Amino acid sequence: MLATVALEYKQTEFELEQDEELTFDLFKTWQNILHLRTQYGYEDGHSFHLGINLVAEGKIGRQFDQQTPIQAYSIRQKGIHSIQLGWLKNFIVENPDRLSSLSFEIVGNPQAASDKNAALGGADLIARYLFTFLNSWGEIFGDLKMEYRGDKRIRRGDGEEMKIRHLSSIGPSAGYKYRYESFYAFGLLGFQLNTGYQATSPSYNRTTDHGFATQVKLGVGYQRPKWMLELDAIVVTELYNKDAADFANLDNVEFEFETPYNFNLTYSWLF
Amino acid sequence: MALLKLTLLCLALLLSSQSEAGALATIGSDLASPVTTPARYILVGGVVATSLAYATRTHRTYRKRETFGDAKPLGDLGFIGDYIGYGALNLGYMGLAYWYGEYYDDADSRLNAELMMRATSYTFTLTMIGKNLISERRPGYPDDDQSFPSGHASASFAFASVVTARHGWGWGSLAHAMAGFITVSRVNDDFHYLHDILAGITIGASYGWGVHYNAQKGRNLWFSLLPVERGGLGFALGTQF
Repeated sequence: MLATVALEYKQTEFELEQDEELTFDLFKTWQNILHLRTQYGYEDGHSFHLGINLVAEGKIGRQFDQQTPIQAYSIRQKGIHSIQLGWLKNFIVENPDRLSSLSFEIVGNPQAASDKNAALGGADLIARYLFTFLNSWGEIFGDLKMEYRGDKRIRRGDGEEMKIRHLSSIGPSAGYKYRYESFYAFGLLGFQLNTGYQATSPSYNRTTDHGFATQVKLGVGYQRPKWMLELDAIVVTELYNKDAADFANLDNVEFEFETPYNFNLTYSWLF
Repeated sequence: MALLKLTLLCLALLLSSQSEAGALATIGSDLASPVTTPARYILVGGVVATSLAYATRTHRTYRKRETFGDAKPLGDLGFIGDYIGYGALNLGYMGLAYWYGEYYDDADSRLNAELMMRATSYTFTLTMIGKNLISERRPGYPDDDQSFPSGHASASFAFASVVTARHGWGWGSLAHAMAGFITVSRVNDDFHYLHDILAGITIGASYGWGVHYNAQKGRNLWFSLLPVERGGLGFALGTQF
């Protein structure tokens, strides 16, 4: 059985940028999340895992550029971020230096949004094919990930409830992990294509027809036979193709979600 | 009718006895290879991914861009994928592998050319059947109803799969990068929805790996047409186990 405790700090910006300066519709989320997860191998090559993610301290708010006369607001977010349940199958192959596995995961948030808590809602489904090629220096690793993100409802600090329509995404990632005795360092690049993002609230309606995301992940770790400690940082940028009808008179507008800061400290041990 | 039945019977017997496998048997085995070989995992995963993308598709306001400068994610570079995605990679590989096989008397190279031809042919046929049966309008070009599935995606991933299966993941990674660029360019330029290209990838990769597995382990399925009583035609299907 494998247990994992992880601390995550995440900041995400949802924004429309014009000429990379003037910002519209900006809201940000700041979250400190505690992840607790256990993985149990019940048969050779098979395992399932159960996790709960708690927002220790979170906030959804809106800042504004000095050029933009937008009212600032914020609302706290606390409690259960999500619960995840998954299953993983390792494929047995003839070459022990080539590992591959298939995993399915469902992630849901049972907490409803309220005036005092901007909980995210909805359920996500994630399917991944993971691969690892080992060599004497380290390993090439990555995955092909398909994700369905269910409908979300976010209560904003200005009293409005924003609904985000479900969407799906698919894409690969690949990276290299360098090992030196018990230490390792790794870098990972990811790309995915998304179906359209649509968000509605009483004051605005944002529609797109498709998008894409890029991800860069860097990390270092220390691994022993029974435990490991890892620190990583992730930067994600999601860009969507704005609907021409919606933004007919706004040239050079970028519809962008950015996660500039996402740090994770993870400790796992076998027992 | 009797003459037709006799002709079909002779044709079936002739094709089945042409080679060790028989042309018709090979076609039958190849056509079924996405189901009868380990390529079935690609097929199942691809069908699930395509279904999810279809279920989450968004309403599109049809448009024709004058410029693609702000298109996501490739901007105005999508035309490169458009040009090379019309089977140029498949044909180039076939020609080069066949020439190399003939010039250096290399049977493996001739087999590579044959497998690329087989994978591309089945992929092309199924893709065209899908386009004409389903008649989905393209997102940016509503006058054109050949959106589903993507022919560029299916052809380029048939190419990448055969290259990977025959030459390993070193060349395969390069081939997949090219196939990925071609495929993404089709969404970038509003020729396809996400579910169109996922269906194309599924078809191309299934047949690319399917014909490779068939070549590795021999045919495991055959079919033939047979005349039957009362003026009908029969379809016989067999497998080895």
